[in-house]
Amino acid sequence: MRESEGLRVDRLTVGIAGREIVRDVSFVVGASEAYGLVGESGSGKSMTCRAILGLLPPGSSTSGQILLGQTSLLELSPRRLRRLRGSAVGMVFQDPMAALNPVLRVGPAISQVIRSHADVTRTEARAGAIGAMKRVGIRDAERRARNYPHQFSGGMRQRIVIAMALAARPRLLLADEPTTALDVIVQAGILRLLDSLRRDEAMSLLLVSHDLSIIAGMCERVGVMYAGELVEEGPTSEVLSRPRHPYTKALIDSHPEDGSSRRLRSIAGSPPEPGRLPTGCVFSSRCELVTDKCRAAPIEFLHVDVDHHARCIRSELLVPAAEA
Amino acid sequence: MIDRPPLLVAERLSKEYRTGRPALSEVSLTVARGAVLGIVGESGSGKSTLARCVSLLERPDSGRVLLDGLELTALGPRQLRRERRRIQVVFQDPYASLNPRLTVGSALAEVLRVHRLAPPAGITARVAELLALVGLPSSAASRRPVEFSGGQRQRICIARALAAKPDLLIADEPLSSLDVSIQAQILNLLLDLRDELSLAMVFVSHDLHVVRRVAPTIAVMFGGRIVEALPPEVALEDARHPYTRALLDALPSLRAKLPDPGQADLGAALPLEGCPFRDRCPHAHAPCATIDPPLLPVQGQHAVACHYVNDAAHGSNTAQPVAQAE
Repeated sequence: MRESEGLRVDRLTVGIAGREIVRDVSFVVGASEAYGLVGESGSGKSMTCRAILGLLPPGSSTSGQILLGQTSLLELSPRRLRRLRGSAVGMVFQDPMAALNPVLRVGPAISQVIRSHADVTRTEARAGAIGAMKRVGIRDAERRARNYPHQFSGGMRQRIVIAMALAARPRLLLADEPTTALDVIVQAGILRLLDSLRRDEAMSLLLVSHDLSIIAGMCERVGVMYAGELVEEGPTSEVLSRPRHPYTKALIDSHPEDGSSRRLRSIAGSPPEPGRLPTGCVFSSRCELVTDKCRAAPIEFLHVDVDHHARCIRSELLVPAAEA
Repeated sequence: MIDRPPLLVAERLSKEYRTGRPALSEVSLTVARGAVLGIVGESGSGKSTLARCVSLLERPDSGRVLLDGLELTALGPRQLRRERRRIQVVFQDPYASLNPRLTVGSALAEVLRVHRLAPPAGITARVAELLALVGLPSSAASRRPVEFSGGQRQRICIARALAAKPDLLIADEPLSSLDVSIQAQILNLLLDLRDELSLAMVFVSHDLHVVRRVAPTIAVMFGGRIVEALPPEVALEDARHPYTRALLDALPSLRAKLPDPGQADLGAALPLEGCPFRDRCPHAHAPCATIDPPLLPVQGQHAVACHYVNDAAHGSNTAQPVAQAE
């Protein structure tokens, strides 16, 4: 079975200080598949990642299941989780400077990762580090390995972080807003790199972003998060061309891309705060299609098409008339 | 009747910090009354330095800034303080731009009092009016910035800028710290204000698509220079400068194509002589290494600073046009 080698998140709920930050989130990232998680700040996308990595803040509670291959991550001891991070799961975050030790030369920093996850000699680890730097497109890697993080530009630093994340050949790479701090052209380079590495290394990629257009070019499947819930999930091309949740549709409509000078369609209001969620659908306070039934009770994750789910009871209204 | 001069004229503005290439070299632009000029560029392109020099938050090393015919760069500090009201700036980070200890009402009232823009008895009414203008309830006046979301804080910053009754609003990456669904709200608010108050604006951003929504005329900056001026009638797809082309290819798209980074050797410092883009340019040839290309018209108001494009367009032309928003 294909999924047995990838990541399966099943009805994950994360509570912090009595508030549910993530509610009933389910999705599958197949082996060597790229999955995009999109959402605004506070939507729960980063907390979902932290749950996968076992990096939730102290005192948080979880229910549901996270499976990486056959391993149930929520049941692992802290020690085994630590071994897993960096080896089976690589991580790349928004700020590369925060992920690098400023007083450690980058070559030795990468060697250290290799040696902590594999039984190799110093020389082998050093060669591995230079190989990893070459794989992420750093020219003159032998010389650059002796440089400190501050001697690299933002984009090059993010490449070093990616080299570190890949050094132990993980099965899953988790990239949370990896290009948000970067310029447009540098961003394009990092996205290309992630795409080709994922294909070459047959590794699963979970890419988290607030920007739907970044996910569009990178991922086969996309999950849209809002106020702690996955509100829509499906093949990226389907979700983008036939969105079945009003929030997804609004996100697409508010994208400035088409080059015209028309006003953007905006979503009125702002997302609900974790402690003050509406009783029914979490998007009901901002939705144009809202009815009394939407406000009455929480909405189930409904099957709307092949491999395509949405948390909306009125989603058929979003289907173009010609197709309905 | 004599023609009034354009609202804003900036002539050959230059600014150098300690190292490398000047942050800004010989940049000229004009903005007509009620017009919007968009400025696009990556970090280090000089776009924020330009915004700061135009608003005289920073003095340019050389060049002139004229507002409504008055040469701001020739004024002393005291006179400048009096005129400063007429150019207001909205910054990227609304969290850092508001005094956390002042209520929103007193922050706005302070502007009105300092510039004597409302009689003491009329201040409360004017504050409510300003809040309504940016889509906030009048009850917001008694609350402090911490009680508002990022988008609402940016509305407060815009209201505070408008309180000064500016002739020109400079918005420096006003959407970058906001969530996607909120960005559209603030963008539309700026468009409404442009239309309702016929407010002239300089809109600075790294995102070409966003800028095109607000500003018909766009100046693309790279290495402290305007490398391309795009008038309203030229579509983004018809941009000519190799840097603008690279920027367009690199923009992520909902049309599910992987963005193209081109052949950027990123991390390399810009060359000190010649065209600043030459190390990353697919068309770089001999003159690019020595001569910094001037901004020359290719057609009408469309101007490009590139030897490759300009040599193809015409032999020699020394006129130096400016980015004009009309």
